[in-house]
Amino acid sequence: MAKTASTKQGGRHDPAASDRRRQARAAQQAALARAKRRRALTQVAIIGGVAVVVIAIIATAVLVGRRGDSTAAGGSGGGPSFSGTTSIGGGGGSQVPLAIGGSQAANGVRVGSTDAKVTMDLWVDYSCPHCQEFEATNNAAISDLVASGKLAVTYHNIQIVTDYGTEAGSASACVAVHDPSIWPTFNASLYANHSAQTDGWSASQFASFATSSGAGDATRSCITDGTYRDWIGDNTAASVKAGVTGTPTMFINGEKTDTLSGQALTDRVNSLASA
Amino acid sequence: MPDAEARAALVDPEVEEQTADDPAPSSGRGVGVLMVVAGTLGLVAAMVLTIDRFRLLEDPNTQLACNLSPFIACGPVMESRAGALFGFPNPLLGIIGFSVVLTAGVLRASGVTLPRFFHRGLQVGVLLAAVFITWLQTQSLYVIGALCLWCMLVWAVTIPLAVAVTLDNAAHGRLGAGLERLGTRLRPYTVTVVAVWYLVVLTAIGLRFYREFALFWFGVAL
Repeated sequence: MAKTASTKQGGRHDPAASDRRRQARAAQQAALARAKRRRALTQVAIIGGVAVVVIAIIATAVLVGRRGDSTAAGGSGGGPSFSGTTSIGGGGGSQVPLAIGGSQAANGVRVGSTDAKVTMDLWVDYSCPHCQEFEATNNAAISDLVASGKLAVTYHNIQIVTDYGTEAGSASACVAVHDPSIWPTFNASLYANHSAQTDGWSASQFASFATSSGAGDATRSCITDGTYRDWIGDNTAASVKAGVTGTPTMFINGEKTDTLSGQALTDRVNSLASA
Repeated sequence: MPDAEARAALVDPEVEEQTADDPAPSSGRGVGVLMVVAGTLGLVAAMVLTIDRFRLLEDPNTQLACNLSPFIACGPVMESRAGALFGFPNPLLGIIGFSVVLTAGVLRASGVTLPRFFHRGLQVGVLLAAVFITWLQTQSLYVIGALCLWCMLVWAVTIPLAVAVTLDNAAHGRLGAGLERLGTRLRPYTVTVVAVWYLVVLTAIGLRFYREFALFWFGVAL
């Protein structure tokens, strides 16, 4: 090992060879620096170019999307707007007012007496498992409270989990507008119906489902056309402003609360109603 | 001075092969450092996601800090079917995978020469990881409709990891002679490849969520 090193050392002491080596090295380093600069420029150019394309694509989408929106708003007046009555609660049920959209029920479907002492806003998504659970547990109790006139509920259907939320939400709005009498039952069955098998349902499948639940032709074509899909998107956007960060989110008399369930829910409504 | 260079040449035979096209044939240390950083960040993200999953199981109504808005939320993503593709929460895979990346990265960064089969195994790992996160991206954007910040951190570290490991392996001829030339050509452009990949993902996110972002960040309804 030591011998090899000394031999090498000897070789390097030859002045001419050392000069040549230095020159070669300097030339090589200059070439390296040039190549490095060239490469850096190429990289910046590629990344910059792609970034510009990306910005252009998104800007186009924003502009095109905006134009699409304004025509939709001109054609159908934005979202649904309707008020009527529906039947809710056990034992034949009682007739209560139902409103969707407009000033009475912005971004939602309002069910219940207009002078109910307690109002509840539920921000829900037909595709959210917790909402399905909540609905299964509390539908009967909420319906009875609404039927008694103490409570009015506004269901804000939004979409945050899967596309089922949008399609079912649009179907639900169609039923509220065209067949309000079956809306409470249909609302519950949209939750009960959600499973891995139905998650990818198309608008026409929802239309058939509504027909078999007793909806008429107007509802059918409304669902097939996906009439209120955009409205569900608008509601979802509105949920951000309302401070919703997940579903289900409950507001009672305008105040955000923990999502009450079961007896706690009934007790709270009763105590507020008798206060 | 010449002594030091001669030693360097003995330690790293590739120094002799330097050409203008390939100025820094890596000893693998750069990739090693990247693996340490990516492995650490990925491990943190996987741990947080796993712990949050436990918290959600203990109390389904718990408010997770990562649920910022209906669109930027980890809850719906974690509870989706895609969040547990193999029947258990995905982040468990991350805890295993990123631990290996971190450990191997520490070895490479400290100059340990790892056997060829290890590099090939790592290659299989990062490719599977890249395929998996790409599928998760499509699920998050087009099926679940929500972005989960910790999941996005995993995407953000997996992309450079996959690119750097693949190009480095290719350039070293560990993926066959056919890919060696291509790898040598492309390796100096690792940063570009990563940046373009990032931009593609950002475009998809932008196209899917620009309305929500406009509303959430700027209060503008588009």
